Amino acid sequence: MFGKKKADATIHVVERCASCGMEAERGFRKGDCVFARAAACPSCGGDLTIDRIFGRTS
Amino acid sequence: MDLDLDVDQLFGSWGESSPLMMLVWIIPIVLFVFYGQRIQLMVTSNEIKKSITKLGAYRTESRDELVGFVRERFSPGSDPAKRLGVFIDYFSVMPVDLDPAGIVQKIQHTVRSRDEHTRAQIKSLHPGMGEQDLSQVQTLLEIASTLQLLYKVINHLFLTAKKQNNFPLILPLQMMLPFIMEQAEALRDAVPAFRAGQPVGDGIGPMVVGKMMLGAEKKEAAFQTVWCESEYEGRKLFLLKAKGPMSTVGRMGDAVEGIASGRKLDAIIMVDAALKLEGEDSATVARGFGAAIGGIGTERFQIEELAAKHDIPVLAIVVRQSVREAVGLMTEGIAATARDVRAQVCEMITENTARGQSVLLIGVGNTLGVGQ
Repeated sequence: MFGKKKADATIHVVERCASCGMEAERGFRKGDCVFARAAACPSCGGDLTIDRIFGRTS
Repeated sequence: MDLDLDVDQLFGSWGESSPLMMLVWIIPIVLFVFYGQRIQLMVTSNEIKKSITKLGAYRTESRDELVGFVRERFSPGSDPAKRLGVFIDYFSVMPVDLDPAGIVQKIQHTVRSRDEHTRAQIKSLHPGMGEQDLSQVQTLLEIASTLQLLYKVINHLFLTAKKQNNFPLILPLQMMLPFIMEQAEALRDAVPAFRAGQPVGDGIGPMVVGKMMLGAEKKEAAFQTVWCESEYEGRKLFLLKAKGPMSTVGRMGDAVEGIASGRKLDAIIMVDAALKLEGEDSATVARGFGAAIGGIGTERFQIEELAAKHDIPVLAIVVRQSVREAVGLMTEGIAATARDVRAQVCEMITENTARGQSVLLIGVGNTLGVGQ
């Protein structure tokens, strides 16, 4: 039953660079939380942080 | 033997005597006059029985998910199912309200005693259990406990009505059941998000305020509640939210009392999720007045008391959503409103306060999966 719901909504993570505003979307990984530092921004080297985590229903 | 049957005479409506047609009309009338209520009871009972079966399945599933989560994370030596089963059956006896004076403190005491006791019991399952896991287990336990209670109460009312052949008792049950099922389904669907530590729709308030807290030094305002100081266009901001990314709503009442003692507040702004009405669009933002905070009412009471005593205006900004969206994984639409809500909060601050004044901004809601 719980699995059925999971299959309906895919979980997305949007990372955002505080310096250049670049946004990148990826899948959810265990331990992800909103505002956690993710990595260095590939375009400007600034800090990428998780901006939002949400479910998208297809 | 010659059976001289005239079919037209038996069923025809033109003749003076058509006995079969008379029976076809009379039997149902007699049946419905004497047994109508019983037939209706049978039909309604079948519908309710189906819902009870579903509730029973939700109850079992949520319990299994809870036990599975504990086993997977902590692999305890003994089987946790039995102990968790005891926790699921915990009940609270609410204070007597014959003399309502001081009842809020009594309710708060009962609720907090239960909360603290449950936390201690969960922690005893595994000494190394961290705060994050503990909060998630506690929420999953609350879900399993609520579904258990819903199943038991509905089943009790149904069986009582059936036992006594009491049709009037079954009618309100039939009317209430769609609402109860909606809540139960929402709770069941919320389990995966609480297991995985993902933000829920109710977390929009903490998400709005959490971003404004980034980079500032955070202090503990109350149990599982953090605050920090900031500034916006010459106004001093006190930002407050539950401590993320745990699954908690914090203790906003105590935190507001703590922050307000010795400080002059010129406005309180509360950001929260609110239930939308049928027909309203989801993820719409609305502004209003008063303390926007749910729960049993004790936190709201504390904030209202303080605001009234010090004549502090309380403003609210809410993101409308359904029950399912509020308790389940945050939807794309709700997550996307965070930036707009932040802009509206800033607008509210400048519109309602002058330079040099101070504002307490509270992000209300469960902060699971949302840091600060």
